[in-house]
Amino acid sequence: MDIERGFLFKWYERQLLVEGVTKPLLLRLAGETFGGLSSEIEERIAELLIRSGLSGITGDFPRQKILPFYSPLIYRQKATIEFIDGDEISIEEDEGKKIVAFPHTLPLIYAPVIAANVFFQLMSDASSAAPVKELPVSLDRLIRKGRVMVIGAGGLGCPLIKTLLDSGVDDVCIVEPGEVKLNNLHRQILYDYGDIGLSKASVIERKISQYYSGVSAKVYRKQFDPELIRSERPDIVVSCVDNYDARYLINDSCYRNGVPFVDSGVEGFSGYAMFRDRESPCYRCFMGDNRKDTAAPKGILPFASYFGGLLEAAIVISYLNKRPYEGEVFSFDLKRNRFEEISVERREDCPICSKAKR
Amino acid sequence: MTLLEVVYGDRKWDFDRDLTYGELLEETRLGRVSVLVMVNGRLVRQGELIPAKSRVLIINAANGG
Repeated sequence: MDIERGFLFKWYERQLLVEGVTKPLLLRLAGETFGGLSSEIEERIAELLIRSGLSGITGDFPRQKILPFYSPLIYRQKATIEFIDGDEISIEEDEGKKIVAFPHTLPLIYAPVIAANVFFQLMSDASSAAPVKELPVSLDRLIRKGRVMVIGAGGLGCPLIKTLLDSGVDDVCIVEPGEVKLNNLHRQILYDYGDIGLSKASVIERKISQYYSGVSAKVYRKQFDPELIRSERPDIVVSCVDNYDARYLINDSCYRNGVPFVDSGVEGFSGYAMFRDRESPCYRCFMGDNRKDTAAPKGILPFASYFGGLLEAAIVISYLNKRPYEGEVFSFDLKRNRFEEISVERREDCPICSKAKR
Repeated sequence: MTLLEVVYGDRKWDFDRDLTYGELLEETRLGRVSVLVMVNGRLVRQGELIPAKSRVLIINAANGG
């Protein structure tokens, strides 16, 4: 595949959120090669890192299928990155090999946190260790079924949909108007290079019918319309959209129809996730109701949106299991390993959820 | 002296006085950035006073997906 070098460098700058991508940097990243991947969490970490730009060859992962132009074709005989069990998340050099340690007892929801640690340490060429933080939600086994409406199948929606279906959710309604583009591939894990130009809705329908035969899935190729909440009657709605306006619309529709919803928003390497219902202050109380979308969306690293999607999935499963996440807004910054729960109060003048409007 | 500690990403500021929400954004030059302000873990809004001794975390008002 012949892609202009200038385009490739610009593409990398956009995807890696760094300025001044150079050939030596690309060669260094491309030279990183994973050893044998021995567990699901190792595979997820490797996938996130490969989508982030580490494009070395591994026999365990179909990198060429996802991003065939990614590699300057450095074929290494030996792995340069090896995963081992350890007490903390750390990356150390040992005779030219990077040894990535993390507790192998960690659940899958930690995969993006570990990937982010590795990514930022590789980008800075530093070696350090980060303590493992306790997360307020976990990906429990689904014990009660329910109908889930997912709005948006991009960076948040892809890991969310896959995780829900893998967890046993078998009744979904997905709303996604877009087509697969090249710049989606680094973080929208349900799509590969061969899907470019196809509608995301059609790709998802195909994949669900291929891999999840018992699942009832209705996929709309359209923008979200509040009428869908009334016609589809979901038990819970998940917002995976990429702008304020859509979030306001989802918030208002869910609140007025008494349907709980989960939202996440991401940017760069940080974001938040939260559960909202009629008992809690709404999205407008959190974000304010005068935010404006800009014409040029900001970049998002793969593990940030992946983490947001996993957190949303965990909140959905806990709700369906009748053990709803009772925390406030959960905020994360994967570059600095900063995790915070934010307390939000209901605004007295909120046009949607203030007592005067209820 | 007790300080108002403010963190935004890798950037940090210390102030030795109370600040209003507007003064905080002006002093940190974040007025043009879409952000949320947390004081001791609680979201604060325009018009609120942020007392010294507080721990302030400013995060981006993320809207990507």
